[in-house]
Amino acid sequence: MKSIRIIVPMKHLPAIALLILVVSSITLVVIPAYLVSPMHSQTAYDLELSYTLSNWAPTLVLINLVIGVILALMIWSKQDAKLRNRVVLVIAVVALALAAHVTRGYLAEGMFTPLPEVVRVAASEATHVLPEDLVLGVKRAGEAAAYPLPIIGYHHIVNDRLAGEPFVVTY
Amino acid sequence: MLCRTGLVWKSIVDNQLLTFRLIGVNNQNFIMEDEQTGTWWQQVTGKAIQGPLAGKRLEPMFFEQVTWELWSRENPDGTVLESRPEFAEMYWPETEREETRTEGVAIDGDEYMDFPVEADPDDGLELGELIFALRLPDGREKAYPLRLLREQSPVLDRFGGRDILIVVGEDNRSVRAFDRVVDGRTLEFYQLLIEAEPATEDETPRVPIVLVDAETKSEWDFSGLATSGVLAGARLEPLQVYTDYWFDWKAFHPEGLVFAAGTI
Repeated sequence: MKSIRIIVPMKHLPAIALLILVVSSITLVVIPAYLVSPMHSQTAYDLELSYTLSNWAPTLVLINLVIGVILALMIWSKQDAKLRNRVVLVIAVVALALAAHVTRGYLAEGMFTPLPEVVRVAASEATHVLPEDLVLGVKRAGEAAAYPLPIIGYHHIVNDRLAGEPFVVTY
Repeated sequence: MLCRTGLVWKSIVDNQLLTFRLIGVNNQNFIMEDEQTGTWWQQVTGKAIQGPLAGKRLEPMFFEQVTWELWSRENPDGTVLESRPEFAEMYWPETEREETRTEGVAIDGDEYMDFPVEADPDDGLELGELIFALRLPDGREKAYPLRLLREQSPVLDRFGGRDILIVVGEDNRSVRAFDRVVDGRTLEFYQLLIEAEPATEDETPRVPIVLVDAETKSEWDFSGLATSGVLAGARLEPLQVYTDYWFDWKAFHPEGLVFAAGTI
């Protein structure tokens, strides 16, 4: 009787470990992004924590994925694995993979897609700007470029050059 | 709505070209990350706040925020960022353009955000009120509420050892600042009152503003160029101004000065 009590939790150990991995991966994705979200005011500590976590997150989440896949295969290969358990395993691995994928990109850019390429057209031929629209205007060596607020108010950041000089337009 | 602050920064820091991406928000002002070093930069201050370049500052690049009507008239050979059809739905709709173009006060503390600073009854400003921040080449800044600028333009001030002129354009939205010292002499400016016939009955006439300096009676246009009089051909040195919400500027410039009505 005594030995059975020990065997039962041992059997569930891989599943418990897998659950911990999934929770920690999701936490690593959500916490750094939440810390620098517009939903609250930030302290210097929030910024530092978010920066540190988001630097480590891609590596940690990838390690979680690798270990998670090994654990899932171990559980999968058990004779008594039921269909329901296997569905749960697939969901866990997909969650880990998704977390690994998300930390490789920029969450904020999911809301505000950056311009794939910066193209400017002649002011004299432009029809997409209204006379009353505000623009940010820059000049360099006789060249002039304008960035309409209705457009950069969405993209927020435009990396561009004028007369060879690189700059970033931000809004 | 979060930050409504347009700023332009040079992209080279310590001889390295940086390209920036959006990473998050710090107290309603966004944070950029550069792809080369992973450093985080505060948009409104240009300061590196986290990462290998922490403590460095981006160098400001002179720009102006004016209406397209004015800019395209002054820069007929210029170019303008194109509108990409795949983002058409995301660009500011007509209603939002209308909102920002007409009224200075554009936001309240609503469900989207809480203000990172408290209102101060002494400064008489609403947290969600638009201000223009004057930024001198040495980095010193002073805030001018748009409401006051519209009432009092042209505003003459002295700040950071400089004699300042701030003018609101005839469109009531474009704002420019200048150093009002010409050939070692400080000029006092006033605006000529020009009555114009409305083009149509329901249209407010827009006549380019004309400034006059009290010392020589020369006439100056909104670009800071003397168009007639003994100083004809002279140019005022432009100074950087940018728009911000009062709460945002105050949060990032806690010791900052604000222009009050009648203080000259």
